[in-house]
Amino acid sequence: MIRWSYLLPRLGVAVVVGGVVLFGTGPALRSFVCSSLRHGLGVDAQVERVRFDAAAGAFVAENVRLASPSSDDAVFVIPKATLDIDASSLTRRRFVVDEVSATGVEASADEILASIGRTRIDLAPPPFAARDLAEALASVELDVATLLRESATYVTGEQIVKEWETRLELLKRRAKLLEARVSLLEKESAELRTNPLRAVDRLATIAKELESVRVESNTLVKELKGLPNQIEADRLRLREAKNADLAKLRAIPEVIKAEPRQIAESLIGEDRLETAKLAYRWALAIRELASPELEPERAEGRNVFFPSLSGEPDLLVRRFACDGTMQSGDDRYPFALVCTNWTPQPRRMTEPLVVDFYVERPLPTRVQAVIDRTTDRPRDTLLVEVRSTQPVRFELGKETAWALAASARQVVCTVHAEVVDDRIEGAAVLRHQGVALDPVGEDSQRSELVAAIGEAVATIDAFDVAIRFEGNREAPKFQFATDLADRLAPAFEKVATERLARRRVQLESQLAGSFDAIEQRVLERVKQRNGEFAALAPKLPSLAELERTVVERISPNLSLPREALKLPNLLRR
Amino acid sequence: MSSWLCYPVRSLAAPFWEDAGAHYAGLGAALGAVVGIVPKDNLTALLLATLLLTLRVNLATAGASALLFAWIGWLFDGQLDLLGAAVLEHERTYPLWNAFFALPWAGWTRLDNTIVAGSFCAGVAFACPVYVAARLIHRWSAEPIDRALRSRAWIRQALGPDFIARGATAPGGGE
Repeated sequence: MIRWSYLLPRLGVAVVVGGVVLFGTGPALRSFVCSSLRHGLGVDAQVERVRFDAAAGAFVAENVRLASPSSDDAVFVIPKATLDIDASSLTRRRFVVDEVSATGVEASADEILASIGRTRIDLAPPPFAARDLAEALASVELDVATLLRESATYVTGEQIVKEWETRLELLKRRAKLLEARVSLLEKESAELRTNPLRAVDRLATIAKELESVRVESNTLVKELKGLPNQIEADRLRLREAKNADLAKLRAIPEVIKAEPRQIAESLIGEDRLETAKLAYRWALAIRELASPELEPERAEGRNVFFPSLSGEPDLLVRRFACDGTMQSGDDRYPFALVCTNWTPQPRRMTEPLVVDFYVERPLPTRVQAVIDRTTDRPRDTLLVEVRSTQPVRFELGKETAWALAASARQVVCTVHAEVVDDRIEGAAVLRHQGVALDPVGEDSQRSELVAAIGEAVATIDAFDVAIRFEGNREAPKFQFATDLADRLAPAFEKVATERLARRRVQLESQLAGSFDAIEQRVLERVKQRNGEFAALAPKLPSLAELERTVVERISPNLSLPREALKLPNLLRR
Repeated sequence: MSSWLCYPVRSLAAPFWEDAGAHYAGLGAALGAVVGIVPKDNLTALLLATLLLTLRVNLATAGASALLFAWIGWLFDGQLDLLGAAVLEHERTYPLWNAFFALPWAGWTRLDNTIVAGSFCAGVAFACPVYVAARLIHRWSAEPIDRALRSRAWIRQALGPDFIARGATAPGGGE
């Protein structure tokens, strides 16, 4: 016999309790989830329905919509999310979620990336340093005549010839003047012989005049004696100029330097830079998952720390798995995110937050991050990998004579960064695989060199470009390096040295004897001018007669330097 | 229906005509003081309220006391904060509290908060004086209040036949 009066009320109570649990907890849970997401992730959350799935032992949230507080557009739309809670943790005033999984998530990549702002990698590729090579090539393409005309030997020779012309012209004038003065003295001596009285008066002054002639004669003799030494000095000047010309010619190949840093900078074209930027921004976005330390809100008072109560976080998500599609513009592509040990109170944790994120496009990108906020010094380790899906084409040395049309089958960008406090240190490495470098030669004169460079770079199959960054997280300093530069530099050096050395030999052979010829021509010119000057010799005054008629008779103490005035003899020395 | 409506009035007047009214009123006031002064968003307040409802105390007095001490608690917030910090952080009590918070559900009491702990301690400390004060107030005011109650017909009607029947034997009875 069933005691209905006993059973029915209890059944009624059980049904009411069950109904409240099944249907009444939804609004409360929904409110709790929205509040937790707002405080935990800082996002505006809307949840259509939250229910308890008794079979799975988990709460199920349907049609969750997460939006950034700064934007009305949804960042995430989650059709279904399950929440597996560790119920035993509730007795200790903790909310531990063993696993949160969300499938079929629709996320907005544009909103996510916009919410973290733009990174500061603004680099304009500088002009290619190996322009020096083109300049060096242009310098050796000058014709021999021009080269000779501008050579130091030629310039010095011309100068020497001009100096000799001036010098000999001056000597000539002075010799003529001396000749005239002697001639005048001869005439005067003849006149004085006829008039002895006047001769006596003249004797008082003629001694001074004769002394002046003698001094001028001695000076002229000294200068004439120094002419051979001057010729020797000019010959030395010519030789020095010749040596300088040869040294300059030999130094031409040495001006070619392939600067690794600048080659690297020129390699960071816009495409590669965007790849690095994307990786860097995803890394920063992932880093934002680590929320700052949050304490439960309490209007008044403060919470005293007790290890048994506050040693562990109030809210902990042991594992968060999410997959779905991400949208950027009209493009949709899959993504997956696994996050472990997330909590808004990371300092109560011993294990850091670990994030593994993969997104298929715009380029396949994987971000692995260990975000450690368990100590006073925030320390993050980020590893990002971005792969290109299509061959990448670019051009090197566009402004030079030896531009390279380059292509890489794939570019893999790997960013490794360590962030401690506000300092960031790491490197982004762009690995170009399956590289083909083809020289582009438009100038026929340089085609030979371009072909040679082509031979030198044909063996290069892969190369890396590294962007090292260090400094403040907001504005780190970037440094560029590439092993391509290291490979290209010796090749360029070798090719350029060989080609230019050959060119130099040709030049030298063309110039062979040219400098000697200049020297010879200068000396011939000097000799010729000397000859012209020597022709003046017969016109010089008759010194013997002067001695006999004027000096010896009028003044026994006066003796003219007869040998010194024999200019032609001296000029021939 | 009228009986149900008049229950709070009867409850409030009961201490003045019931035999053990003063004792129950004192208990109600003491427990009401503790419940009133403690912040309400925690398990401590819930347990205290449950205790208050479970024990046979005068609920009207408890309610009035709770309202009064809620206001007093708000007035002395700063002092309660200091008291709570002293109680929680004292070198002798700290290990005890730590052991207490290791127990299941202990965290929900929020006694780790200085305001909650301070107000709880103050409430417990005030419970005894409040009880004594309530008894004293009852002794001094029972007779005049009883007389005043009985002098009005509508009050007699509201308090019911038990009140009238007890009137002859009650300490402050008029007949």
